[in-house]
Amino acid sequence: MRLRVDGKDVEVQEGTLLLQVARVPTLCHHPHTETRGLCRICLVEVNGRLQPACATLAQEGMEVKTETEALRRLRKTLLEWLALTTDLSQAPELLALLERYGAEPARWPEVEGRKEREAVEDNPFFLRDYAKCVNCRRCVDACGDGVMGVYALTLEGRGLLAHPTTPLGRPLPETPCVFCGNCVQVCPTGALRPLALEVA
Amino acid sequence: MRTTCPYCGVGCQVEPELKEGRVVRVLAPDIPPNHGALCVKGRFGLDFPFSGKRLLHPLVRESLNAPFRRATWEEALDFAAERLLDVLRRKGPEAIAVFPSAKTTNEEVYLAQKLARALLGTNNVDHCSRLCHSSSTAALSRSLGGASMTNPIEDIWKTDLFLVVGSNTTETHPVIAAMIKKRVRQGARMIVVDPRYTGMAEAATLWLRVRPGTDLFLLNAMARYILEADLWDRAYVEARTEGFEAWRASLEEYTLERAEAVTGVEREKIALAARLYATTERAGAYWAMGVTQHTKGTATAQALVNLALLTGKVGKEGAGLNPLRGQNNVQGAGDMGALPDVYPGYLKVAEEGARARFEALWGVPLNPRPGLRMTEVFEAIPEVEAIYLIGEDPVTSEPYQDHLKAKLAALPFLIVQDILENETTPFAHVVFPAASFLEKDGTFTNTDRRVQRVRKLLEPPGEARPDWWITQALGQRLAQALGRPWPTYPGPGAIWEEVRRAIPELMGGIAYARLEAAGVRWPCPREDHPGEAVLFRERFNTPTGRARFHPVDYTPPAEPPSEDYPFTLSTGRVLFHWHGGTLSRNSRLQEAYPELKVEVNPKDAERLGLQDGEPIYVVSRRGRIRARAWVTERTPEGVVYAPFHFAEAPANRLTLDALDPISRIPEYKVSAVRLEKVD
Amino acid sequence: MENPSLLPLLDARMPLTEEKVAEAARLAGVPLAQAWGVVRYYPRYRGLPQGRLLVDDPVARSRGFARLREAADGTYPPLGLEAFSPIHVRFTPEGRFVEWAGGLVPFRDFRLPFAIGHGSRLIPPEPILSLAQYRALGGLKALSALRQGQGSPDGVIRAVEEAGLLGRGGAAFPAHVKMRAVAKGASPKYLVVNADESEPGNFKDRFLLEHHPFLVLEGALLAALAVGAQKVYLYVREEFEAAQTGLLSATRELEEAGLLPVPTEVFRSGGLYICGEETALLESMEGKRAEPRLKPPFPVEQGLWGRPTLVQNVETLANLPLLLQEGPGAWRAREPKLFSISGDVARPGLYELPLGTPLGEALRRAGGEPEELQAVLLGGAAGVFTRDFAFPLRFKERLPLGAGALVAFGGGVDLWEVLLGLVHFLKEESCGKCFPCPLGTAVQVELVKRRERNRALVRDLAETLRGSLCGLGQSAYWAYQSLLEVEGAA
Repeated sequence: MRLRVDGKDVEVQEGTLLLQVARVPTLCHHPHTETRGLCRICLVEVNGRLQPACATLAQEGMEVKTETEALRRLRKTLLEWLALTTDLSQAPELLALLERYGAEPARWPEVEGRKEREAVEDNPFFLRDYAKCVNCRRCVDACGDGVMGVYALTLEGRGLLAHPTTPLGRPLPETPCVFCGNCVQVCPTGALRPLALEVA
Repeated sequence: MRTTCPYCGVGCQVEPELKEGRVVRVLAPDIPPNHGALCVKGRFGLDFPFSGKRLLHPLVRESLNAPFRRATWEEALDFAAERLLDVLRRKGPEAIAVFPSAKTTNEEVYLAQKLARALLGTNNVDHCSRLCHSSSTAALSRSLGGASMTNPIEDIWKTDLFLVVGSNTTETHPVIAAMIKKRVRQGARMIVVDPRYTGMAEAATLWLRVRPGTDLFLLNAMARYILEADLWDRAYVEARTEGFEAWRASLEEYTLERAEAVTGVEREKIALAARLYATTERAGAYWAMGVTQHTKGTATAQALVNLALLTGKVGKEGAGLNPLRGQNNVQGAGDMGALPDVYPGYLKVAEEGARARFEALWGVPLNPRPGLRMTEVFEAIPEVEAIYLIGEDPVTSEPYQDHLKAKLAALPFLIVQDILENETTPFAHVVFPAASFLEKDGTFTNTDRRVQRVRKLLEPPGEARPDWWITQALGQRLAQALGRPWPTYPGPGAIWEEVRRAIPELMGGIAYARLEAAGVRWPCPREDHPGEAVLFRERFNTPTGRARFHPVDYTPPAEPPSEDYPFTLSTGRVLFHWHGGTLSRNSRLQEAYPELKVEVNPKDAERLGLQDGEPIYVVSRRGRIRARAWVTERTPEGVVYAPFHFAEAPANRLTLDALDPISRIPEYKVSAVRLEKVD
Repeated sequence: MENPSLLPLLDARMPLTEEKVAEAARLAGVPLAQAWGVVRYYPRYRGLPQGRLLVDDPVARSRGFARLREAADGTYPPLGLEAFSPIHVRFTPEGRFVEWAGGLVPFRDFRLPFAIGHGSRLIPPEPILSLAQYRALGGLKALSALRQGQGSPDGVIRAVEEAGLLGRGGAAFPAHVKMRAVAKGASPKYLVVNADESEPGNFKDRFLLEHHPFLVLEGALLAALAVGAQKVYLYVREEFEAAQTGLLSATRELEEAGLLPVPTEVFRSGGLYICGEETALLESMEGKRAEPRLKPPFPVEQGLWGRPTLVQNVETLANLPLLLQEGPGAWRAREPKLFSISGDVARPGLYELPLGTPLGEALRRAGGEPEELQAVLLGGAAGVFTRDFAFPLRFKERLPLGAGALVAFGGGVDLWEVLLGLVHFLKEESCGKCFPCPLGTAVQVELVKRRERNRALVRDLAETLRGSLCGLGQSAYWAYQSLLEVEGAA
C-alpha cells in the first residue's frame, strides 16, 4: 500500500506501523513490551489528526506529517515538563532529545513533581529510584504480560505522582519477583539500575 | 560486546557492560534465542570471574599429603605430562580418563576429547551430562537416532499444548519458562507433571501431582488410554515407526486404575491429559531432570518418546520431544564427542567407518573400544590411575559424596582445571587455572542446537589461561613424547575449522563469520544452509529411517521410604544458583540465596513440630547435612526437596549411587531420609 | 472470557486488609499485583477523606471559596448538587451524608429534589418509582411492541438513524453508528449504560436515574434488543446510592413481571471522573485501574471482556422509548435536551428544552438575566466560558455543548478562582496513564494560580494537552483558553 509521509510517497506492507516509516522519537514504546501510545512523544499528524506512530498502522492513502511546527512544540513542551518534574540525569537519550528540541524547562512554573522521592534499595541486585521515573510502565509490562508473567510490579496512585510499586507495597524479596532484571533492561531513565553500577 | 550467558542451556545472548574491568550491567540484545529477556543469573550473576577465589597460578604437588606449591606453566605442564605418560606406560590407556567440561567451549571440548583419543588412546571420555540428560540421550538415540531437542525454542509460539514433565522450568530455564507461560496466557494449554508445586504447576491448565518416581507409570497409562480410546495417529505410526505391536502388548497392565494407585493422580485427570495431548495437533513435550535422574530415567524418557510417536508429534512444527539441557554447553559437549562411545557428531567409536574418518583426520590409529562412563570411572579407581578433570566439581555433583571422596583420595593422579577453587580441588595433584567465559573466544551450543559465539572481553587474571590453550600445551608435550601428530592451533577459530572438517554434515556450514548476527543451528551442512529448525520432518536418523518403539516397564525407586527414613528426598536446583554453585555462589546471586533451604510440607512440619526457618538435619543412610526448613506447600507430604548447590551442606552426601542400567545416571530424585531437629 | 469482576469482590470485603485483597484477587483470578494497583487507584479503597467536606464545584468556587474551604475539613469533587451549592457532605465511620436542610441525609436516601426538574417528555410529572406508575404514564409501549414483533431490532436502529440521535454524554457521536456496529458483531456482546455522571455542573442523568428509572431501563432494553446484547450493565456513579437501589428495585420489578428480556445488572462505578470515559469505564468493570484504552479497537468491536459492547449515556437511552413512540420525525422536530442550569440564576435546576434554544433564552428560563452575567461556563470542566448569549444550544456548533451544563456567573465573581477549581479538578482526576495529561494538568494549575496570560505558554500548553490519550487531557485547556478569550473580548 502507498501513503505519503512528509510529502514523500512511501510504499509499505500491510501491518506496518507508522513508527517504521516515520523517524520520530519514542519513549514508552519498546520492542519487548506492549506499552504503546502512552508518552505521546511519537505523535504524528495523520490526515490532520494526532496519532501515536507506535500504535497506528499504515493505511492506503494516509497523509502523514511527522514534524510540523505544532508537533515540534508539542515534543519540546512535553520534554520540558518531564525535565521540570523528573530527574533525567541518567536518561541520556532524553537529555539528547531535550537538546535537539531546544527545550527550556525554566519557562514553566515549578510543580510538585517526582524529584524528591527517595530511592528504594530492597534487594541485592538493583535500585528503584522513582525520582527518575517518568511512569512509562515498561517495567510493569516486562514483569507482567509483556515478558515474564511474574506480576511483581504494579502501579501506585493516579495522575502525575503515579509510579510503579510492588504488590502490597512490599520489598521486592517479599513479592513474586524473580530478579530477572528485565524491568531494569527496559527502563529508559535509569530509575531502575543495577547496584553494581552504583559501587563501580 | 555480545557474548553467550555461561549458565543454563537456553544460551541467552548477553551484552555485559564493563567499567574498570568489572561487569556493572548486563543487557540482552533483541536476537534469538532470548530476544532481550534474561533471568537473574544472566542479568546479575556474571560477576563470578571477579571472585577472590579465582585460581591465578598453576599449582602442583607430589601427593595429597603435601601442600600445593606454585609452579610456572612450563613446570606444571611438564609435571602433568610426565605423570600421565607414566600411567600410560605402566597401565595402558584404559587407566586414564579425560572429562571435558560442558561449561567450556565447543573448541575446548573437541580438543580435550581429541587429546584423550588421539594422544592417550583412551575412550574414557565423558562429561557431566552423565548426571543430567544421559537418560534422554539414550532413549532418543535408540528410538530416533538423535539426542537433542527436536524442535527449536521459537516453536513455543506455535505450540498449542505443552506437556511439561519433571521440569522446574521457571527456575532452571527461566527464559524458556517465560515464553511458555506467555504462550499459555495467549491461550495455549499446559499439562504439568510434577510432584512439586513449581512455577510451572502454578501456570498449568492441568497439574498432575505424581508421587516421586512414578512418571513412567503415568506416561504408559496415558499411552494405553490413547490406544483404547482410539485417539492415536494410525497413519503416522504405520508410515514412520516400527516396533509398535510389541510395545502395544507391553502396556496391558498400565490401566488408569492402577496408574491412579501408583501415581496418586486421579484417573480422570490422567485420561484428560491423555486426551488433550493426543488430540492437540501442535503439542510439544518438554522435560528435564525429573524424568531422567532415576534408576529408570532412560525408561521414563523412553515412555515419553513412545507417547509422542503414538500420537505423531515428532517431526512437526510446534510439537516434538524437547529435553531442556541444563548447562551452557552440554549440548555442545555431546556434539563434540565428550562421551565414551562416540566421536564428534555422535559417530560411533565402535563403527569402523566412523573410526576411519577420525584416524584419517587426526593421523593416528584409534582405540575401537568404547570407554567407561563418568560414574563408572570413579568406581574403577584405583584401576583408573589418572583423571584430567576440566571445569567440573564431582564432589558436589556426584551422588553419595563420602564414597566418592574416598575414591578420589585413592586416585594416584588428578588434574583439576578450573577457574575457581571448588570441593574437588583438595584431591588434585595439579591445578591448572583457567580463563572464564569473559576471557576467551569460542562457541557454545545451546539446548536447541544453536551454535553461538563466546567472545573475549577481558584478559584472564594472574596466569590463568583459556582451557584450549592449556589442553593444547599439555597435548604438545604428550605428542612430542609419543611421537604423534598434534597441530599447533593459533586460536579457537582454527580448532573450529577442524570441527567443521570433521563433521561437515552437522557443522560444515557454520563459519564464525556467520555467527556475528546470531547463532546458527545444526545440522547445517553448507554456508548457504539456514540450519535445521525441526528435526526428522521426513525420516528419522536410524538405519531404517523409522522411529522405534521400545517397551519400558515401571520399577519402584531403589530406596523407598522406610520406618527409619520415612521421607523421600528429591534434589535439584533453585533459581538463584546453578549446578555445583561454583559460579553462582561466587557471584552477587549468593546474597539472594545464601544457604541451603530444604522444602518441607506444612503437614509434615506440624507433625515434627518444625517451624519455618528452623535449622534441621536431613539424614540418610549415607550421611547427614544441616539445613533450614522451608515450610511450604510446594512439596507434597512425605517429600522433602533439597537443592544441591551448597558445598557446606551437600545434598549429595545423602543421595544414593543406584544407577540407571542403561545411562548410568544416579537416582538423584529419590532417596530415603529422615528429618531431625537441631537441639 | 468473563471473570468475576474484582471491584464488587473488593467492595464485599470492606474494610480491606491485605488478606482480603489477596482473597479478592484469587477469586477474580487476577494477580495480586493487579488487585493492588486497583486498591491504590480508586478513592474508596485508598481511603476517602473524612469529616465535613465542601463540595468543590464551580458554583462554590464563585461564592467565596476561600472562606468556605477554611470552614470545612476538606473538599469533595462535584456531585451533581450544583443547584444547591455551596453544599457540604459529611463522611464519617457511620456513613456518608449530605448536609440538607439543617440535617444529615444518608447518600442512600438522598435524591435530588424532584421540584428542580422542568419538562414534559423526559421529565415526568411526578417521580416514577414503580412499574404501575410507569405503565400509567404510558411506559413500556415501545418495548412491548418490539417484543411482540411489531418492529424489529434493525427497525429500532433505523429509527434512531432517522431521528439523528446524537450521544448525550458529551461527545455527540451518532447513536445509530455504534448500535449498528455492535449489532453486526458476534455474540456474546454487551450493553453498558454509562450512568457515571461526573462532569461538574451536570445533574441530568442523576435526576433521571433517581426519578425516572423505568424510562432509562426501557431505553436500555430497547437498545439491548436492537443490538442483540446478552446482558445489560448499568454502570452507576458510586456515590449515587439512591439511584443504584432505585434501579435495582426497578429491575427486580420488571423481572418479576416477566418484562426483562435481557439480564440486567447494576455495577457500582469506580468513583472517579475518568470512569465516565467509555474505555476507562470498561477497564474498571474488568477489575482494572480505570485508565482509557488506546483506540482503535473501539468498544463496539472489542469492549467489555474483549466483546462487542455498546456504551451509551443515560439520557441518550432515555430518548429511545420517546423516539420510537413519537416516531423519529416528530421527535426530531422538537428534539428534547436536558440542561443542568446552576450558579447565578434565580431557579437553578434541570430544564428540558428544545435543542437549538439560544443560551440567553435557556438562562432566562431558569430566572437568569444574561445582561447581568459576566460569563457562563458551558459543558463543565471539559467546557468553555462564554458570553455569547445568542449561541444556539446545539451539538457540533462553534462551542462544545458537552452534556448540557450551564453555570452562570454574575458580575462580582472571580472567574480565575472558578477556573482554578476546574483545572484543579482535572489535575486530581487525571489518571496518569499518558504523559501530556498528568504533566499538563499539573502545570496548568500553577499557571492559573499565577494568572498567566502569556500567549505562547498557553498555546504550548494547549497544543501539548491536545496530544493526550483521552478526552480528559485533550479538552483540559478549553476552559483556560476560553477564559482568556472572554477576558479579551470584554
